[in-house]
Amino acid sequence: MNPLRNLRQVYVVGVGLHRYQAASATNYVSLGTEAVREALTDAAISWSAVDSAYVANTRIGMAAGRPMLRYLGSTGLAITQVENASASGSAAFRQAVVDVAAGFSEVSVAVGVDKPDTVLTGPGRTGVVGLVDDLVRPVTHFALIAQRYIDGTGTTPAQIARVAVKNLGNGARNPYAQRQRARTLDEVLASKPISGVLTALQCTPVGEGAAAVIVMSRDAIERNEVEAKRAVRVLASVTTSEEVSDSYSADVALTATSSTLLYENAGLGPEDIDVVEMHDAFSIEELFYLESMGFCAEGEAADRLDSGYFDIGGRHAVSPSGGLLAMGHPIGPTGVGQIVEVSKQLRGEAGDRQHPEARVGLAHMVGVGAVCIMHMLAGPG
Amino acid sequence: MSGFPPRQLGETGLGATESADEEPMSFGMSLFEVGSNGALLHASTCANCGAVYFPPQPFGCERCGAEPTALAPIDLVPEGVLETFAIVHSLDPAGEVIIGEVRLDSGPLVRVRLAALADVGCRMIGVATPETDASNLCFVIKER
Repeated sequence: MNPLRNLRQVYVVGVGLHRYQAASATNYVSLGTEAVREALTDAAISWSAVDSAYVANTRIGMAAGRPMLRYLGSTGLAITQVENASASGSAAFRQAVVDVAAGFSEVSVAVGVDKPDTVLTGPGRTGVVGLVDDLVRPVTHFALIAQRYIDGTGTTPAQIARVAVKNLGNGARNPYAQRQRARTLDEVLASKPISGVLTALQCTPVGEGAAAVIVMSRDAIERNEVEAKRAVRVLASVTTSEEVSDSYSADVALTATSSTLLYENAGLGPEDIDVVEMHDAFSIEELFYLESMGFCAEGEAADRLDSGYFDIGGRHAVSPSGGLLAMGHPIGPTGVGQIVEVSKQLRGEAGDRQHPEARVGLAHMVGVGAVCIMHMLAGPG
Repeated sequence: MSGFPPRQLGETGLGATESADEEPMSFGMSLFEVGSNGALLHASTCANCGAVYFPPQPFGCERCGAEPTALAPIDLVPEGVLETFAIVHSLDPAGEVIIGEVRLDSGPLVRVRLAALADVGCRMIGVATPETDASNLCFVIKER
């Protein structure tokens, strides 16, 4: 694949969110327009400067973009719907980046917006049905991996639960997070048992919300008089899909493959990364993805986490937004929201959650299929 | 060769569903049959590369890309080794169930229901009896 560094440079110049929250009567148009308006204000540009929009959603239906974006003004911009399961927002961001990098647009916006509703899935409609598919929800998929991880590494269920303690603590400092209450280890372990070792507070809340990110070319930054010292450069963008393998976990293998490609494209490695936002929909995921991404050796993530290595202020700040476990996972917005958090961190604008001297950040999502999308960004410093 | 069921990584109970009182079917074909010598799983295999698929599928070989005509039915003995398991607490109204991953002697890793807790490494066999659930295959420890 053609690395992003061979194309035009692309910068994040504006970010915005609507708080992630439980299902409410709020219309998706209100959610989405609030996030986009916040991003426009952040970038200090008008809606008319935006050439294209990529709109990620999974449950609010076909053609959701134009009925929402029309209330920002009539500009005739290009609008494209993007769906890639849990990685929909990441895919929308990637499309916006590619659009600008390739020179089709000077300014593009990625918007994720979603609300809980019924969902039809491709995998559920292939007709290829196993013996227990109706009993194996995603949480059980990861509970099975968690038990393998425990048996293989000696990690304890309490150590896995500490991922949630850390991320819920980060989320308590994030006004946009769905869960804003810090929890003790005892509280996490004593929450409702769901599947295997995973309890309710170790599972992401799936609600509603919105996120928006505006990207620009260098020329557009000058033309629109955008504050260059707040512009966050997109260093690399990779997307991959599951391959046939004998691995017990495609998720682990897919993230390892994607990470290797990301590091090659960026010319940087895990040692260079200060901030990580990842698909921690279930606590166990953070441990094995950290290992797959090369932040520590296999089986070491739990001990490193216990030592504060992955705290804000530690060696690498992992899920400083609170991650999917605390920030939440409204699906369409999630991948875009990760870019919002990484950008704030790299600008030094993350407030109480600021990781000191954050220069390089990574965002990672997986989605049903399975697909994996990863980005690396660098701060303006 | 991967015998994984379809990927289910979302968060909203995604995945195929079917009525609990119907025998599991894939393309109108039962996933297993029970004869006088016990149960057999219905799978498919690729004549080109030897890949084995459970559940069976008619679309083409995931591994080598061979066309559907290269896929042929094959029966697998539902015996193998328990690699991991999870007690599922949250499936109202089904109540608590135990899901396991069994590596069949023939290669595929299959997700199955366990009749009772068993240790990782145990040899398991799939059975369908009135005591377990005659409409579905349930795995038990294989007595030596």
